[in-house]
Amino acid sequence: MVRPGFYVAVGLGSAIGALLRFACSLWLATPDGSLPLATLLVNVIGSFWIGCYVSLTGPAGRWQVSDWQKQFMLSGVCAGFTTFSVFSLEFMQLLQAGQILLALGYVVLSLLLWLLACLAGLTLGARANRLRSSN
Amino acid sequence: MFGQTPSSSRLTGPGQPVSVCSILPNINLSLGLNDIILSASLVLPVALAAAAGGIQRFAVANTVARFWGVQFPLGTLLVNSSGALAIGFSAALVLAKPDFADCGLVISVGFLGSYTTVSSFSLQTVILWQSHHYRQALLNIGLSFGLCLSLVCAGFSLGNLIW
Repeated sequence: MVRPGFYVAVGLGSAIGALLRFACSLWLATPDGSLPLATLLVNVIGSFWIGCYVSLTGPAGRWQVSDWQKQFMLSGVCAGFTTFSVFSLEFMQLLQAGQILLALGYVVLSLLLWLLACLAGLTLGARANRLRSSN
Repeated sequence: MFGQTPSSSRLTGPGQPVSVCSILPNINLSLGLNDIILSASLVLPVALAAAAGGIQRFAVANTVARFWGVQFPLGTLLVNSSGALAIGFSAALVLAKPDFADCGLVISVGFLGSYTTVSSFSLQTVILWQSHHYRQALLNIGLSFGLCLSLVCAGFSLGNLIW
C-alpha cells in the first residue's frame, strides 16, 4: 500500500542522494573523453548499499525499520544517488569523442561492477544477520 | 559535457585551478574557486529538481506495478529508458544554446539523474537471478542497456533536429 507520506520520504531521500552524487561528480571530475570515474563509483556504491540495506532490514534482518524509512532509503537515497541517465549520456559522449573501445569498456565494466557490488552487499548483509542469531 | 563533470566545461571559468585547502598546499584538488562558487549556487536547484525527479520515478514505478505486477521490473525499465531519451534531448539543447547550461545541469544532474536509478536495476536483476528467473534477469539487462543506450542517442539526434 502506497501511503502519501511515502512521497515525502522519496522526495527527501532523492534530494539527499542527488546532492551526494553531485558532490562526488565535483570531487572526482575527469576530463572529457576519459573514463567517468565519479558516475561509476556512485553507481557501484549505491548498488552495494542497496544490497546491504535490503538484507539487513529483511524479515530475518537485524535492523527493524518502518516502511517509511525503507522507502526513504531504497526509493529515495539509493535511487537518487545512482543514475542510469547520466551513465547513458556519458556512454554517448565517449562514442562522440571517438573513444569507441572505452565506451564499450565503460558499459561492460559498469554492468559487472554494479551486479557484483549488489551481490556482495546482499551477501555481506545476510552474513551480518547470521552473526546475531548465532549468539 | 555538463552531464558528467560540471568543472570540465561549463564551470571552467577564467580562474586557474586553485588549491582550496591551504593547510595542505601539496594537494591540488583541481577545483577552481569559480567552480565552487557556481556549484554552491546550484545546490538548492539541484536538490529541488532531484526531489521532483524521485517523486516522479516513484509515481511511475507504482503506476506500472499496479497494472503490470511486480514479477518483471517494467517500472524501472520504463523510468530508465525515458530518462535516457530526455537526457539526450537536453544535451542537444545545451549544445545548441549554451545560455541554458545551468538549466541543463539542474535538469540532467538533478531531475533526470534522480529520476533514473541503477541501484533498483541491480537489486531487481540480482533478485531475479537468485530466484532462478535467469531468462528474465538477462532480458532485464538486455532491454535496459539496449533501450537506454540507443534512446540517449535518439534523444540527442531529435534534439539536434529541433534546436
